[in-house]
Amino acid sequence: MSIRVLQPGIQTTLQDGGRWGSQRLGVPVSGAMDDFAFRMANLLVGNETCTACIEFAMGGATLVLEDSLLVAFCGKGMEIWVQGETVPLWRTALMPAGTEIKLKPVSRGSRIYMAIAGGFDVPPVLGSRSTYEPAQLGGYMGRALLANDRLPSSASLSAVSHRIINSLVKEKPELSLANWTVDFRHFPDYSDDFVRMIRGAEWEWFTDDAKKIFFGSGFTLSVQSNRMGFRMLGKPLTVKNTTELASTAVCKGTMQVTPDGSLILLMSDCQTTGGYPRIAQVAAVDLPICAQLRPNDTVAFTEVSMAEAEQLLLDREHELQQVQQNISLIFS
Amino acid sequence: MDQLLVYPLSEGAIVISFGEAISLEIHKQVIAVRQALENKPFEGYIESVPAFNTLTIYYDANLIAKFAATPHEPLFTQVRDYIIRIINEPFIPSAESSREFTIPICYGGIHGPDLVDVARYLQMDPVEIIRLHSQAKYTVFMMGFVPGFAYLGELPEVLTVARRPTPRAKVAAGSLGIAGRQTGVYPIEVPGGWHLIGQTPLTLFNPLKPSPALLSAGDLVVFNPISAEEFMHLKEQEK
Repeated sequence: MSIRVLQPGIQTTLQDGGRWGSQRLGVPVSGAMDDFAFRMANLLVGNETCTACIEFAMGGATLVLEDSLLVAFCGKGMEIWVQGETVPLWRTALMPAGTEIKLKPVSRGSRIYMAIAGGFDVPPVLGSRSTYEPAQLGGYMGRALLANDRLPSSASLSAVSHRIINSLVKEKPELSLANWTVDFRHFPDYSDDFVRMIRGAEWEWFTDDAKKIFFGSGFTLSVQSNRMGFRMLGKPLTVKNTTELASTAVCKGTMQVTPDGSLILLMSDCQTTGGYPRIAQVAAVDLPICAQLRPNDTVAFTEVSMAEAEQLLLDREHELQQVQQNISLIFS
Repeated sequence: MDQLLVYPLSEGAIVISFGEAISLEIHKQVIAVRQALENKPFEGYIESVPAFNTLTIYYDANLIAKFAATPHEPLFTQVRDYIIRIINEPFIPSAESSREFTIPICYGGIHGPDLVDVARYLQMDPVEIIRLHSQAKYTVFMMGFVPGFAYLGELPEVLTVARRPTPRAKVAAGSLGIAGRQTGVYPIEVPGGWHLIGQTPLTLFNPLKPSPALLSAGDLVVFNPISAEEFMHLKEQEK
């Protein structure tokens, strides 16, 4: 059982919930950039939420299913085309063997996740199937997908996946789309151009002007952005004194300011430590909005407290658990 | 340990700051607290990451909320309270002493392309640089930058050089670099800005091994000069 890559796209990699537990050895966490779309894609096909998916980043791609597969595409930035028709995002579909799937870029958003029931059968490295390209770790041979790669799918499906498949087989022999989806109220507002922030550990190092600029003006995603970090273009942010910071804790969502006053948002493949002052931390619930930014998109920042950010995260987790429970209930 | 500062990094990480300085004394505190946490992890603990003067503790916020003793309190204050309790418990140093590694290095030549430049800059004989570098015993202060990279200190003061003005686009795996009061071996081929004075034939990072990195924070390291022939021979054995 496998998926064959015809056109790989710009940066198409396998990603899961992240390589946790090896950061003390300098190994980045990696994992899906938009972890909401990633987890929802898994739920829609009856997987555990941390199962590896294909992450498509900008640009189009073409795949062929060599076997019938239960799939879901979630995220933003591409349309899914099968035989001249679009397949809706955030929707479960059973696709027969031989289905050719084209991902075509659209003007907003940048990352799509493709989950398949059972996940991909590649060996975990340090407990994760996420691809970390700089050290050629995990995923499919430690690299982004190339034309003619064959991604093996796992043969062991959950009971929920089996029941979803059975419900769709009855309806149609060819591509069969589920007549249900999740409540859109559960979704992060991807169209929002405000991102919530918690003050960073070095917030007080910055001048009053810098603080005003940070929360008062917009920042634009630079083309110099990748899975490690996003460069955010805006007015320079200056520190009061130029004390050197010994390399210390950073993680996905940390906003660092480099000596020339520019802003860097660290993303999934970021290094385990960093030495630049941390002006802010993106609220975890708004990281999916950041992950879907395209170069030249502008966002503004608003402040929340850590306690508020925690509550937002717990609420989001609760919603995802509700979705999982409901799917399990319907297909039990 | 009374100047400790504990602050949240994100909804899933909290940082213990042991002070501003980089010193062996602070480093030992970081390692000791990490060990204490590993011995007595709390429900939801994921991992902890030592840096020069901080320890970052990652946790699953959902599990903290689920097992919260005081559900109305912010999660990070609950984690912080637990950490402060652990820190204040009488600390029993672990019986095992630091691990010690000897890393063979072929200094200079094609293996250390910057040795001659460094010697010129320091107005020293390359042989003297090799002698000083390989006579010192180093501590792994922290791991970071790339998988398996150990920040080793402290380099003898007379060997202090600034980073290269322009980083190299590619540094070969195993290259030994120096910058400031630090030295370290690049485990994989990456861009790098340190001056390269030698190379080890050893593999410092292999993700398929049960312990993927040769070194970890708290280890002691000495470098042993070897010839180009020995380098070739050891490189063959590593395969």
